[in-house]
Amino acid sequence: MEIIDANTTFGPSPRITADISIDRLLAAVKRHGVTKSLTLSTVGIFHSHNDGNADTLAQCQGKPELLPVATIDPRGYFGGLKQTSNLISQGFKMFRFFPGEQGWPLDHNVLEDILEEMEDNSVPVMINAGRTGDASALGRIIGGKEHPLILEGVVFETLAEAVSVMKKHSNIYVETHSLLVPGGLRFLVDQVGADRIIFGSDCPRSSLGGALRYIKDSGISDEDMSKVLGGNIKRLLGG
Amino acid sequence: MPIWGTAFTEGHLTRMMERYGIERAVVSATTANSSDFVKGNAQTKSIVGKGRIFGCAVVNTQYPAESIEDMRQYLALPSFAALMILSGRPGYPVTLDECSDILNAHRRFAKPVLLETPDKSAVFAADQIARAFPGIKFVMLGMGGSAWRTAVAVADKTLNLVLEVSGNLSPDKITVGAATVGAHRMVFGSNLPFADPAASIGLVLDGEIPDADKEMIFAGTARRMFGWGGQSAPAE
Repeated sequence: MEIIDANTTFGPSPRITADISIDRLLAAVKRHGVTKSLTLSTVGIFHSHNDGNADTLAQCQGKPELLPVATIDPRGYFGGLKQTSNLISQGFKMFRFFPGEQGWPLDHNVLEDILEEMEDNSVPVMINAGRTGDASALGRIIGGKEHPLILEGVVFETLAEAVSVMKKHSNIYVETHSLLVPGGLRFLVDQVGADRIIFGSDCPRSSLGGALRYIKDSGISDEDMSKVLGGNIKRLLGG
Repeated sequence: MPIWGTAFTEGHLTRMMERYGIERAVVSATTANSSDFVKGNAQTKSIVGKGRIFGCAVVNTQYPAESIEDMRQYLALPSFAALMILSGRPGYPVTLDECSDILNAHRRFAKPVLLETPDKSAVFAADQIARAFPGIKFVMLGMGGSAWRTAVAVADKTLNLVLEVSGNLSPDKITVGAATVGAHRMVFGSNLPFADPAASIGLVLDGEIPDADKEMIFAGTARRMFGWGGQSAPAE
């Protein structure tokens, strides 16, 4: 079964002591038979999105198992330069935003500007929605459009909210790494369908083995598991 | 507690244990943890003593007299394996001042005490308590959350602290913990029904430690700490 991990990072870890080097990521990917990993440099989260995106591209060069992900910090984005189009043309496969880690609210006009700028393409966007109210805010911002949005970091306490938003907006998906409650995956399959669930591990910040085991032991059908573990994100990435 | 809009029952727990090959479990009623420890402990009593499920009595530092009474009622029973002390306020760790009377009353039971340690401040509070009561084993539930390195460092110096591995899924947690304090002071926990055992099992299996250490975390530490020599929980 093909496994594509939609949520990995590498680079410095200033807030907690951790080895999240590219070598560590590659070793984990190999050990667990992950086919491809969408990844980005943490330099783009903690320092500068321009430096981080450059680091991501450089580190993914020559490594077919890694797919580069771009990030933009809305606090330092002044628009007008078609930066999102440029990043896509450089080979980035997805965009991620980190409101929690960077300390900005989802009610941010520049975020809306960036998302509007991206409307002409179908590159998926992943945004952390771990806080109560995040999924609802994102539903208002991007719901009803065609652009695929992946809610990352949904936990049991925000699951009901995420499902409510997903039922209203068919372009919204959910990533799995924080979803550790028993029966959570089966609940999601029942509520929104297996086509809307994307496997992610947060490796190497979190255990890839733990994240994979949660999916594999979930009791969903092989067909649904195949979609969750790789088929869905592959479809969003254009095959 | 209604985790999916319905109670997580003994039947649910038993099925999860069978599914993951969990031989024994120490449980407390979520009613006890969230709102009413007296009622919850009575619920726990109703499901233990049948072989595989052992009880954990819960007490609340806001109610010291009632807590001591519940300890007397349950902790002398062989089917109750541990005591959990809560502050009554989520996000506020139990402090030494609040729990000293309870722990003085607990000494004679000689059973491990479980403390929730979801963050760094809770780890430091647990360390202070453990130092004040060196004759009691204290288990840090959740191993400090993302502050697990602090939990490991603290346990390295305070020898009556034991690390319970649920919570944060850092891939280094098991490896560093076993190398620093030893697998014999780490114990498997799932945090059911709030977390699926699959995650914690995968985390331990992912650890870069010998299989014997994994076995110790999965079972050996608990067997020794709870005094289980292979026998089932006696009926009462």
